Amino acid sequence: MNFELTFGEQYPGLFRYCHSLTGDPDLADDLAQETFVRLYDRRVGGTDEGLRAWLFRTATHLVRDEHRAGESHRRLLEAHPVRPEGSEPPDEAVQRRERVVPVREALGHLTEREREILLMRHGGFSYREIADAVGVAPSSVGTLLARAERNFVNVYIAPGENYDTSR
Amino acid sequence: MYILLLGRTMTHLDDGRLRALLDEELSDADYGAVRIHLAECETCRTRMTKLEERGALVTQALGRLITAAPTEGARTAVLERLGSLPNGKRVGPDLPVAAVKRPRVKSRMRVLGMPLARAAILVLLLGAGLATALPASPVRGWIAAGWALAADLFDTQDNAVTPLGPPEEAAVPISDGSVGAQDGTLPGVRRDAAGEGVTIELREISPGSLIVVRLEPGGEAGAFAGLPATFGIAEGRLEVTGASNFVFVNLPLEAAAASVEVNGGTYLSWVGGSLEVLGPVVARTPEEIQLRVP
Repeated sequence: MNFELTFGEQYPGLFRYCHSLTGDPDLADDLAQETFVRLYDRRVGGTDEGLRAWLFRTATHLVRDEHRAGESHRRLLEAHPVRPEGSEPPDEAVQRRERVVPVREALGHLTEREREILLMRHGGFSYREIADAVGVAPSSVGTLLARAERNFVNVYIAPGENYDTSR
Repeated sequence: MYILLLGRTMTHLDDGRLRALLDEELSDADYGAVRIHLAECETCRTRMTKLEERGALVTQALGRLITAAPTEGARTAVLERLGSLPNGKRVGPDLPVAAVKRPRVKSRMRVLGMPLARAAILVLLLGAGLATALPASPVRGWIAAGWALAADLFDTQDNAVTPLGPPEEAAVPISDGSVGAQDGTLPGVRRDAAGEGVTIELREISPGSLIVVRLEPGGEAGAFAGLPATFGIAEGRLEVTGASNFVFVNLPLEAAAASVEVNGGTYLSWVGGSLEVLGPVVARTPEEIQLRVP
């Protein structure tokens, strides 16, 4: 397994997944790094697809550990920007934050599994990869995903958008 | 996959199947049947359109979540933690330790990489038969065999370590619980180099042993284990399994209470700033206390 190749291909997606789940880019970096350390520490091998599934399954478990500790869940709902945004003007940063808050609040109303399935699917994962990472049957992913989307939209109110949540 | 065509009775497609169709995740067999049903069922076509709109809204919303990119130093950080930076450090796959860092979580367990220089305050020598012996040897058995003591943790002459803090802060009393203990003192037992806690080294760990570290709020505990160890972390609890040789456990000075258990038996407990060592002492040196479990 080539570290540079694997890291370059998988780390950005792993980070985005952890970032989406935790709402905290610093924590996401910690967890994504931890996942990679475990990958090499435990000498995980296999196909590219299997490797990707292992990475995201491990990251999912790590995020769950954080959620169970309560700390991340609090962060998730607070949706605070931890990292300085460089040259971004303050008003733009505020607007960006305001766009993120309702999304995180809606995610906060989902179950842990619903959150994971939703974020993985919208991160480009196949049903099989999701099933493997979350620990459900591939045939049930569609149903779980549809339910997660419905529950998300029932709570989510996008700024400036109208959507009939009864649909 | 159920599409029942019994006479003119039809069972509508469920959301899961429609979602899978939109995601192109249906099997070839299901795909054909679902398409046939949709061609005949206005209700399901309408529901699928709504599912598609809902999915687009969710995708748009979730796209707002990513507000930052990975740190540029992520790759370097991973390599450092793997001990494989090419700048003179060890390179290769046979890395000696499993190290997990959780620097941002307070008042709970964390697993951290710990330099060997910080190790070895107490050494527990666990005999080869430990895994099978322990279930029949409850803690009180060890206590009967002789409660041991630890001692003046911070009276060290080792100048290689980080200078100690003020004496009044460093003086951590240790109760031994044994009869005839020497006022709970034993020279040479020391705190770790960073002065942040007590480090316990467990060696000759039997295969399959389970090491559990419990910690009540206050500081961060840590463990450092040889491959192929695995770690489990929950609120106030850290587990190490599968360690093939050694495990270092670091307990924070500020913890209200902490303990180290091996296969269900408590070897050490830390209560109110006092370290209590359970088990027969087989050797005491200025550098360490050794315990051996039958």
